[in-house]
Amino acid sequence: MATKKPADLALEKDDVGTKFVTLVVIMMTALATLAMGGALVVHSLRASWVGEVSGHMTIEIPVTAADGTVRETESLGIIAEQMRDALSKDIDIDSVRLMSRSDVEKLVQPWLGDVAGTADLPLPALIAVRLKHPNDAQAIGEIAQTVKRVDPVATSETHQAWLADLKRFSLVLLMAALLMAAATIACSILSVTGAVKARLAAHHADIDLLHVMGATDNYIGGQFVRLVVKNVGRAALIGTVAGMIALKTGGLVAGELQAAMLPAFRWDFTALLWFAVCPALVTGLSLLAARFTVLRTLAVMP
Amino acid sequence: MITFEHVGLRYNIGPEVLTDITFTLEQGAFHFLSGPSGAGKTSLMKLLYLSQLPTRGSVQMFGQDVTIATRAQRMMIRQRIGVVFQEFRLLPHLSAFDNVALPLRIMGRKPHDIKNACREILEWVGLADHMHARPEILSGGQQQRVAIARAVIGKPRLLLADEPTGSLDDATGYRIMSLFEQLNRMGTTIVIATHNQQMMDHFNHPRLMLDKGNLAVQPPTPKAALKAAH
Ligand SMILES: Nc1ncnc2c1ncn2[C@@H]1O[C@H](COP(=O)(O)OP(=O)(O)OP(=O)(O)O)[C@@H](O)[C@H]1O
Ligand SMILES: [Mg+2]
Repeated sequence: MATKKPADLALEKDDVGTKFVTLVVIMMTALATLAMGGALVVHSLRASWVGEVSGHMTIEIPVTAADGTVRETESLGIIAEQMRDALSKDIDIDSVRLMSRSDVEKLVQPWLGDVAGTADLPLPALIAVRLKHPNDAQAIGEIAQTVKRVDPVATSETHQAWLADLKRFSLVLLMAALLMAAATIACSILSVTGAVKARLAAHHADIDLLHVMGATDNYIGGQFVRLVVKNVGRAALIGTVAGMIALKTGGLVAGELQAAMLPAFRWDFTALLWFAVCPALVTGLSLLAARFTVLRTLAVMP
Repeated sequence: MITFEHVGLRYNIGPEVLTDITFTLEQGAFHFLSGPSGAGKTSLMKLLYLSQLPTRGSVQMFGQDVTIATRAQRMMIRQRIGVVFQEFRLLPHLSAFDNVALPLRIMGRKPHDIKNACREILEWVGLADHMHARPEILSGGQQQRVAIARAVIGKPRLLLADEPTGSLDDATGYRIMSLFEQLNRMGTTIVIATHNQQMMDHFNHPRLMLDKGNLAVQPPTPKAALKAAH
């Protein structure tokens, strides 16, 4: 028998409008999801690198001396040992470690290719220093002075500048992702408003009938709101899932390309929450836009 | 219950369709509304079901001045009015059942009650077998009966019917008129717009005669005169 209560207005019949809104929302939410994925990747990248490098300093003793002569590996080794001994006396330093030639080779490998076996290729000496207090600027300054005293051309690097760059980059990406989400919301609000207006016009006689029967604005608005939630909500969900699938397969491809510098993207709860922001806002604000549009039209009916 | 005082109506910037209409309908009254085509019968109906507000004068309904009532108050007034439209205005995508259920759904009745009430009323208008048919496959007279069922299902205090028997054969027309009389006896105030002289003579209620936007009230013809005419 009379099973499901049908909608009073045959709003679903307007296919072109619905398809347009659906398409717009799917595409935009997918793009917003990709942008959000990028932001999250860089964010977790930064987090993992911050954990690795903060509190660490790297001292580089370059191959070329102050007067331009190229120093032998052996003499670099002697300077490196002097440097280590000098630094070991510093009370702000937790540990000092001379990096072996093979460690250094590993570090330069991505840029120079496989250098193993070319034992005579001059490589700088590197010393890894771990600080007791990562952000003690005075201690860092004193260490830098010690380094210059032992070898004037040696440099000390706290990675802070680089981390700051990374932080800025990650913020920029997050902003881009949020902007993308904002653009998605704006687009869907515009297209939903347009579609609702078209429907209000197309169904004016029927709406007037409900109105004459004493249907409240809420009752009539509800007909539109239900449809918008159904269509936009579904489209936003499809777009988001599509974007997430693209990220996942993109991650696999990147993995195959051995972009080993990228940490594996973690699909944890926080990440999912971030991905949910866009579709939730798109659906919620489209709903409000639809409601507002309907109520404004109804308000001019007697 | 309903009082019009010096009511005028014009559509947009057009001429006044109704000029200076004054009349009162008591609770439980039964009136015919007649007059030549284009006289403004439908327009007066629109004022009565609050689809239009008067451009001048005052309209009191159920103790409220509709021109100063809030939208929410007008909605409540509308829910007490049943309307049979001249052109039916059934929703084409809904079955006869769902069309008839509409006023009850708007009032927020329980699905179970709606189902029973709809069945009962559709049986009464002789459409029990067409409950799930859409308007497009119903004949004009069947559509009109759906429209009538929809107008009376909410047990309105005021029933307005614009040419409600225009598409019906005499027998069905008279049956519908008897339904209206029954509702009237239970307290519903009724206004029926019609051209049908025979119908008006037969049921013999007071007539609101519209001509060129003016209204004159004619009391029912005395029984003796009717007999003499026959
Ligand atoms: N929505 C409208 N906009 C402008 N003018 C209208 C509108 N509705 C009706 N009119 C005009 O108002 C006048 C009265 O029309 P109305 O429909 O009230 O007459 P009626 O008595 O119901 O006629 P009929 O017996 O043919 O149904 C007509 O001149 C018509 O052109
Ligand atoms: Mg008319």
